Amino acid sequence: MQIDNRTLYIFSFIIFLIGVYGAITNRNLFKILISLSIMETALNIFLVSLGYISGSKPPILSSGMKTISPANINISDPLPHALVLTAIVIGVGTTAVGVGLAIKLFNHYKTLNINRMGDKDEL
Amino acid sequence: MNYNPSVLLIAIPVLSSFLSLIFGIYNKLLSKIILVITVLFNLIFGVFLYNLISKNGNILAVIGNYFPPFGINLSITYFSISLLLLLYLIFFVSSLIFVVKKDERADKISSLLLLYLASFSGILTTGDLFNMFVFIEIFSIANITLISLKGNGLSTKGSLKYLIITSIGASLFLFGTGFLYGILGTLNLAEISLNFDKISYFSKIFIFLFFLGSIMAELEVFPFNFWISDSYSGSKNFVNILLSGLSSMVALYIFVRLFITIFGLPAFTTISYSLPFNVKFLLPTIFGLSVIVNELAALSSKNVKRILGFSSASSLSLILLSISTGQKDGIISATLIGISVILSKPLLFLSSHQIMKGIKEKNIDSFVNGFQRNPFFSILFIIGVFTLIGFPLTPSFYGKFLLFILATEKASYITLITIVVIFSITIELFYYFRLIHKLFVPSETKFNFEKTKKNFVYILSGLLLTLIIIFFSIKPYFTQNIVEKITDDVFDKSGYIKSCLKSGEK
Repeated sequence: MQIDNRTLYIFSFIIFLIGVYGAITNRNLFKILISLSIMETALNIFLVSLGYISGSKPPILSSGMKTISPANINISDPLPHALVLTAIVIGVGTTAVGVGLAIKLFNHYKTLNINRMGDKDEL
Repeated sequence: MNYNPSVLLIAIPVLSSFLSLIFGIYNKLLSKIILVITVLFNLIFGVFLYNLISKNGNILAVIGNYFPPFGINLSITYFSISLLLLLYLIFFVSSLIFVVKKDERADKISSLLLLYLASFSGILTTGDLFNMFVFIEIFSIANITLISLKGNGLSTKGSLKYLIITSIGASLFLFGTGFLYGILGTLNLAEISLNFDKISYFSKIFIFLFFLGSIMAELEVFPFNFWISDSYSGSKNFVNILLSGLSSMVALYIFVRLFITIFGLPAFTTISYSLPFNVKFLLPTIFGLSVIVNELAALSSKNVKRILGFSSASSLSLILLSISTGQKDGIISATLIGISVILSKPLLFLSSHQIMKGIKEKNIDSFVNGFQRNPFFSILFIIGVFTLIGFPLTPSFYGKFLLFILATEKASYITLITIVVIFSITIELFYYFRLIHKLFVPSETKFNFEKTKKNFVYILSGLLLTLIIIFFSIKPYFTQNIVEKITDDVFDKSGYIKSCLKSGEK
């Protein structure tokens, strides 16, 4: 079964909205961070689907494709793949920083619930 | 003109960031020296580039010999280099304050500050949309870590809130970038600008919403400003200076560059007639509301850093309101207010920190008898307040006056919003004069404060900022010249495209 690009865009946008909903409604810090990761995943699906052309070949120069000609031009766009790789690395970095901060907050307040983090050191 | 060495504005701080960590293993002082030398290099090289741009026009740096629209390129215009120079100055002041403090993590913080320097230099100079996204992410991570440096619950909470809101923003930015790439097949800003009118109006609405939503948090606009209260009050003084004078201005640059130079503001103001809202009215409403909410939040706060934080957000919203009028006078007004904010906010944070030094509670009562305790920084604080609120002769005065004239020239919806907003600025007068009044009130209860030590770096930084403010105030023609050049550059869409896409020229 072939999936249309437009279906993938809508699918990724729905996942993105699920992530936004999770980030807004959850009070638990880890759940919020997981929601952010869901949003990033949705983005990655969206970017990968941008480069996909129905029926195209992978953008790898094989032995039979010494030159680019109309016969072998039907390859998927490799640029979004490179963008996704960068986005994944950045996403991992952000999540790691977020988890580090959440652990620090847990040690300080003994809870992960953002509403129960009292103002004991606020002025 | 092509000038590839301009890449050094980003490359040297990134290299120094690694060197700072390596040399920090042997001696923490070396990391601090690397930080100061790198900032000075960027400042001096920035002045050189400013002269070059003033003489020869926009600079294009071609990387890997891939001429635009292919590959990544840097495009430096008069607007970006002028803003960069001001921001380097603020960064220099902030670095000096950090350098004189004893910290066991000096090597790591130096490395982080250098990464921060590289990222905002990148945002202001890049000519590629995805490259801008990468720099925004580095900038956000550096900001998050800097906010959490103090290590207490408040600063960690503030930084996590900032992380959550900027992560959502970054996702929206990347969605917008992907969307544009899917339609136009390019990530080059000049190429996008050239072909932007070919996009259907339905897609333009999506792009508008994605990019606007992505920078709302950094722009401290209501309702995305909830991170301010914890982040400002919980972070260190040199981080406050960076947050108020630098981070917000970088977000403002992204807004102006994307919405005016690249997309063209008329592209959005004319598409919305078939929508339930008109962008022409939507933006001033959001920003006007944001001014009022931030002013009220500042008024209700007792913590001095929080007051200054919300006041900073309010000033930024006022600048955005001026920009959203979409007219040349609006941009001139925004630039004048912007110069005042960039220079006065660090001065206010720096002087208030010295006034409250030694007092445990950093609330408005810690200002009591401040003038007697520390007359020098009290005077600097008063100068900072006058610059911000728009005392006659200061750039902010001309900016607010111009905005008022612009709004009242022709009766419209923007007139109503601007007048309401200008009256709400009187709230600012109230809480700042309350603080100034406290400086001269003799204390009834005795505070346990240490006698303020003379700190050479604080005095030097305060004096430097004050002298620059005075220079901008007493040299109106010089200021006018700069502001007009910036405004012309912001609206010069075709000039930007030409300077980037004239491939092959050496």
